[in-house]
Amino acid sequence: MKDIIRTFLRRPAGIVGLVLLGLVCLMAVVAPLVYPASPWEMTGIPFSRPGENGMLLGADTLGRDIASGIVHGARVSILIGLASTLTALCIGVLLGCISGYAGGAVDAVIVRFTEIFQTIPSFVLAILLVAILTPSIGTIILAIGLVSWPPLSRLTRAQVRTVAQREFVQAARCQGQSTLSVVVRHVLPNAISPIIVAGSLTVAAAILIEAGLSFMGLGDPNYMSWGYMIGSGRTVIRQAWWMSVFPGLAILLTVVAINLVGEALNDALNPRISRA
Amino acid sequence: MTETLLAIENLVLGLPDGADRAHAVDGISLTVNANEIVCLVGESGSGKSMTAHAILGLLPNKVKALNGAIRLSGRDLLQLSPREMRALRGGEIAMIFQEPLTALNPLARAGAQVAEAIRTHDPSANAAAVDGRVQELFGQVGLPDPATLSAAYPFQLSGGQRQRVMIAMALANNPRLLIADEPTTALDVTTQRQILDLIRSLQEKRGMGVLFITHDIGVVADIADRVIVLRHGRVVEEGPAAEVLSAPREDYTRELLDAVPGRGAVRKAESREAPLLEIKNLQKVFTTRQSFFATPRRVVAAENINLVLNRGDTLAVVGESGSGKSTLARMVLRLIEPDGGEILFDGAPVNAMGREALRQFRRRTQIVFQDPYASLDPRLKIGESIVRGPMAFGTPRSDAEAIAKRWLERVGLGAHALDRFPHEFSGGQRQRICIARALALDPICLIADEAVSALDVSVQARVLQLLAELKAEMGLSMLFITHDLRVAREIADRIVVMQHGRIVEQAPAAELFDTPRADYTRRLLQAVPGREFFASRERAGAAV
Repeated sequence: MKDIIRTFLRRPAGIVGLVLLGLVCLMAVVAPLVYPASPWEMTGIPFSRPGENGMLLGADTLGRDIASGIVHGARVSILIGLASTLTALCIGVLLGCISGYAGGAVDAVIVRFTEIFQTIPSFVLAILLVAILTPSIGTIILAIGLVSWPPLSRLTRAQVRTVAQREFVQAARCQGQSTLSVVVRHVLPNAISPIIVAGSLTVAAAILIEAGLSFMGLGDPNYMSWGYMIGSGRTVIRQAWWMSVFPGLAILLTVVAINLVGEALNDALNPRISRA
Repeated sequence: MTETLLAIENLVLGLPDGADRAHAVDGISLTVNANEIVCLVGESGSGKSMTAHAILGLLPNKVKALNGAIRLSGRDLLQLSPREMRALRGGEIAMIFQEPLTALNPLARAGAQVAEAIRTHDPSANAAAVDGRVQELFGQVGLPDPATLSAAYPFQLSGGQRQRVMIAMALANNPRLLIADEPTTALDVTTQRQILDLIRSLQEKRGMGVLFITHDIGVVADIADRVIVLRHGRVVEEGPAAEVLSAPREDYTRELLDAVPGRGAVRKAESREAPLLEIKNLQKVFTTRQSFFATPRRVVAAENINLVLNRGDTLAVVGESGSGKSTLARMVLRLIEPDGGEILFDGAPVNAMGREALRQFRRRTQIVFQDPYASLDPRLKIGESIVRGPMAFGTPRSDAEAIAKRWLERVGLGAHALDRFPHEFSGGQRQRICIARALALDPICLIADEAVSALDVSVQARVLQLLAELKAEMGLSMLFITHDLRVAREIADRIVVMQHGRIVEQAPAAELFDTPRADYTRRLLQAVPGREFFASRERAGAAV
């Protein structure tokens, strides 16, 4: 454990990622203190440029403060990004493990099931799910999770299949360890690296799907989100770039931070690197 | 014979910081004359491959030549520009690699790859001439039906055929110096014999200089004019092959010679104990279907296999790759399910065992795999890997740790190995760890699936020694699977020879070596490298 933390902190990527992610989280926490007013409130003149009328990052088409929206939106975007990725990982890794390790008929059934989900355009399915379940933060997380797992499941399956054939796994089976223990302790840790990387990209995708949903008016009406802000500013991007650029930058930074953390975590979990 | 083709003078190759030593090669000087075969012998890590790669300018990025010179007919290769080096590679100097499978491009036809080698160095050659040359080369390296084979893809060729294609490619531009980096290590004994003969005869015909790299003294005895023994990047001994092998001056050379397995007396004792493992009429056929409409490919891995392992005996199963011997080991443990037949362990049918019975059976029958790099979980500490076996059978962690410590000490590693990761150990050490892991479960039967095949000869000898000791101490029965008759001779009481999934011959070890009945067994015996040399050495030893 000590080795893992030490390696993580020795990677510049890990430190930068952690600091960025920390800043975003800090923003989410201190939002009500910095901008006590609701981000939906029209506090200024519409189309104010950044710095005008006392608004740091300008105002949107209805005169809402962009800076306030970004700070408040951090909560929703991070929550949705992480929670829906976690949901997708749970489903994807579980199904991928079962189908990759069991093989045969079980594998065939799970792969066909995955393919059904893959043939439906994921964004359409997400819209459908949210529309049926009525938009709220919970249903949005669930819907995004439900449409994001198939690639993770396929990746996990492929990884598990190759690792399961390696001799140390057979050796573990010959040691009399139970199937669950073989999979959880030997197969998964050796298959996890690309899954971690794919997972950190899924966070980015989830934030973007949420943006799309909010743009369609299917976001949670109680929470401001970065996606909603981009969506509403997109139509006037030629006249008022700041309305979509600042929330876009926020998404970019968050995604980069999560990717960096994922990369460093991957190195830290590999004893070949962490012990070198 | 007198013309010096290649002269390496005081070559020093520096390793990056943090490597186990500062110099991969530390002041090596050697010469290769035209029309002779010089063998570079040494264990892994002795710097023999690095030396070869330095000649062709193929060193890894972090390894740098710090000192010395490599002269080909007087020109220092270390001073050449990349462009000049490219002209030399595959032109005047050619190389054959160890793995014929990975050294060929899987997506290009064999003939086209050889043709490319010709065209690279002679862009003006017309297509018909190149084609004729390819056919001629294929004929020279003994490939039957050159026209068909030059249109074949690498996966359609056998290992030996691929290595012949590699040799054809190396010879394409009439090189003056051929570097062969363990060209037969990945091949079966009978194929190895053919390739060695081929290299020898081509060398004589063309008057090439050959630098032949190997770890197997048997091969050296068969092929070398001169020998250079390397250790830790330094030359230990060099001289004409006959001299070095028959009257080695250095202890290390003697050690290498003595480590070659299969020279001691054959074990005569075969117990009359009750059978522990009985295999009856075992059948297994693998069918792979390339596409929905293609006829499935059938590979027979086991056809009517019958054999018996008595308590306290060692039964060696010998065969070339593809003979089904590893599948047999996996079927015994039910890692692969057989199609038919019966496996009886202590009288109980293994095929019919339920989950718990199978678990108990696997505890008593442990396996040591071939590849010590693949058979340890790279993400687990050694101690953890060993401890999990006993813990799966209810031993508390503290007791399991004590067991692990005891076994690590017994196999010669010491308790400090517990907290380290597999990549921190050498191949031989890892194989010891695998043995410790198997024995920690207190088995009565040990299956060794090519357990020493991936190791250097000297390490091999020590691991075999360890296995023999442990067997005597614990009264283990052993099923020993190997492609190497020399190893089988060292350890087995009884030997089974397999070919294409069938048992060709089955006899007590002494009988098999003295009076082999099957043709195939005789062929295998004749193919053993260095056979004549060691036989004469033994006679000489007996006479003294």
